Amino acid sequence: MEDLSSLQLSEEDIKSLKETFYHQAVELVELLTQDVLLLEGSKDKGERLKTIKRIFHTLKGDSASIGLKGLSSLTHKAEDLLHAIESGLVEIDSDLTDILLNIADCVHEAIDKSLAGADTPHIPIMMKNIDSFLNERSGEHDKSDTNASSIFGEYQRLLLADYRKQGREVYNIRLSFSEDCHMKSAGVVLILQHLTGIGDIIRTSPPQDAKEIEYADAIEVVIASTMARNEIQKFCSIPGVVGNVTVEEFKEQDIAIIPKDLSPTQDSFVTQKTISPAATIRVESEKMDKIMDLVGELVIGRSMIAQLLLEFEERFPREEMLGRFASASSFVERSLSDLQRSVMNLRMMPIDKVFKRFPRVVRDLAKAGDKDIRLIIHGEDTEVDKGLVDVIGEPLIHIVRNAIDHGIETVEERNALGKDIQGTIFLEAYHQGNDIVIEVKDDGRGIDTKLIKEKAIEKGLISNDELEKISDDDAIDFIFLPGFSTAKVLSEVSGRGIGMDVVKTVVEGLRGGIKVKSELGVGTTFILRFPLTLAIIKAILFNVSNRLFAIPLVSVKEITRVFVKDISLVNNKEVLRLREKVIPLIRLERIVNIDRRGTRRDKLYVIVVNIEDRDIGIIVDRLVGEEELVIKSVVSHRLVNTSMIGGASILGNGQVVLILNPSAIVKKAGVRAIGNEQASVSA
Amino acid sequence: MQPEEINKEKDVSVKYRFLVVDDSIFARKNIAKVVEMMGGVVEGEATTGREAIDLYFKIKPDVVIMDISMPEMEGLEALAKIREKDKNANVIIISSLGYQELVKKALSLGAKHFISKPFQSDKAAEIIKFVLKEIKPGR
Repeated sequence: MEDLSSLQLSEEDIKSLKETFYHQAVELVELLTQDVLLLEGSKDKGERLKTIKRIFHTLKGDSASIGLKGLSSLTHKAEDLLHAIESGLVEIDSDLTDILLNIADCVHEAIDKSLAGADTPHIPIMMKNIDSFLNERSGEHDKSDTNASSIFGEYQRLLLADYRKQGREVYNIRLSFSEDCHMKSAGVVLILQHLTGIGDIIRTSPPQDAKEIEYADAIEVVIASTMARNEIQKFCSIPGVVGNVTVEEFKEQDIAIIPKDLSPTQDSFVTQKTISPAATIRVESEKMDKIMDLVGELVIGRSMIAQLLLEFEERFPREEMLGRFASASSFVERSLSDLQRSVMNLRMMPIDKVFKRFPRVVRDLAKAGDKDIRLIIHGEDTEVDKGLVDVIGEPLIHIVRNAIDHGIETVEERNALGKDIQGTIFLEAYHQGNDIVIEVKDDGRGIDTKLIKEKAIEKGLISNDELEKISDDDAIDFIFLPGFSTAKVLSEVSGRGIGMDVVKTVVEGLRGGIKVKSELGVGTTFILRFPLTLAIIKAILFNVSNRLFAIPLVSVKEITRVFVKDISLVNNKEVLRLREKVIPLIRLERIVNIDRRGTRRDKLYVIVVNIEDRDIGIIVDRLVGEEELVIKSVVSHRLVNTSMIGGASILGNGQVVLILNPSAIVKKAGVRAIGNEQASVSA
Repeated sequence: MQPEEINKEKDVSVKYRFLVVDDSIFARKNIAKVVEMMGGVVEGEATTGREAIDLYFKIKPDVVIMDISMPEMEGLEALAKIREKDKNANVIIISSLGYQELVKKALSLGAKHFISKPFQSDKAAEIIKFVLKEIKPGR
């Protein structure tokens, strides 16, 4: 960090500089990865290369200025590589994409370490790799003796034919820069001005305005001229700029024409919409959370006022100011609702931030598994809560990885099955009501429910009798049970490999749900559903043992009043016959370990929650009401098993309410949400 | 090839006439030395762009050698003015490293060549000779 300290910046300045660098660099690397992935199949490779180079260039400058020498030299080297590509020395193929991605990874690692002011030890290795890659490639180039870079457009080809018709000769002139030429791009301007005097220039490589000219050893010019070869040779010796000159007739077969149709890799990745960078500001998420918290406090304040207003009305029903008080209160309420919505909006960001990692993931995995896979992304600009963006990436990657590893067949298999040899992974996000839905769909072999059922019996999860009654849809859900999915046979034959239970836990931690639909031989779809906002929820408030709890309204299916005598015991577990169905019941006090307080009642309330399409009843003493709650997270404490508590909130009267996480409660209660209870009771 | 040889190839009786523009006296002396070595003659010296324009139309030199990295972009302006009024003006520009964009601009304005500082006499001579190839002294 000596570069910084020499400027006599304060510690704080340095820290903030580093942070700024970090945030920008992370974004740049993301962009970089994106552009690299699109490069291979891109129509306008030149434009992509320019973007990639600009990113490396920015990173180079920035890292140098905060003293990250390693990163700065790595990005410099990367620029060299880019130059080699632009000058046609290195072809754009999947090996190149690989090395560029590796560089991006290495840069990313270096950035991560930048906050500590260190460079990563991988940099020198990466730089060596780039060198040997370049050597290898330029060797190939020499052998093949191509005069021109492979990029030769349709337009140039037409020009060429035209000049030939006019009886002009087309030459490829290679002009190396003389040692004393210190201004190469100015030199190129001069060369080209000079050359226009003897003919028509068809192409210059690197292009005249390309920055990499500064690092180039030579430029190549394809020109149509009536001059003889030796005359041209002589004409090209421009002192101070040009060293060696070689003039060759331009050979037709050297021209590789950019294919008009897109190469197969082209549509593997859906071009992402560019979001205008204008009119955005960067705000630390902590600051936003703070605002969110404050709005939360205000919401509490609002309900306090509302409550006071009620009391006031009771005590002074004839008070003149009552009306004004009431209208002021409702004004505050309206504005606060607007504010709340606006702030909530601030937390929303396009899910693109998550989705844009996927082209890379799919490409890498497809390559590793020798599969040909197309990724289609829809709804990448669907706005979702920041909290969701932060954590949903990993579970999604997990699902996609499983889909590629186990779902999509190899090219040969697909061919044999008469399927499109290119498999498809479909990633989509959309809003549905108050939910965000994310779907991951593949057109692979699907999940074999028969195998799952066999496995379930083998594992003792279910009896043969029960098996009969389980629908295929229900059977699939076994994959979400811990340990189940590690079954070897499953992952080999049909499986959604390892750790789907982890995915489910994460999804439920976000108050979401996950469902699978699968058709054997056709494909599998995972549907993840989340509440639109993670910060404020509508909830039902109720008492159990004189304690106040809340449960998110979304998971509540109905509330019913029952007599104690309606509750029956099956297998030592309480169940309730509700209309045609029998549903398992849960006593909250047993699950969250609280003393039984208050009088036993004859009449109880049962809140029926719907967890993954199954109904389970929670027995409560008294219903308090429905309210909008601002969720505050609960820090883990030995007294509270926080997995069952989704958060806490403060009511208008200052009372604290714990918000339950329904799926965790159900899990804890040991009610297997498979449905066999229902079945066995009615039997 | 030695710099002195130029005039042997052409008509020795008429010498090429030069205008040297640079704000540094040291640089002007250096250039003058090269010009004279090659058998040319420095007809005028200017230190600013304005002076250069005035002097150019007074003495009508064969070649102008002018620094464009002078303060306030004067060199570039002078070049533009001169070329505007005399389409055949031959201007070689001199530039310090780091002014490449100015050099490119100058070339697009019709400068015939550029010499980069730090100044190397033999290289400069070659460049001047290259430009002179296309012109006859005392147009």
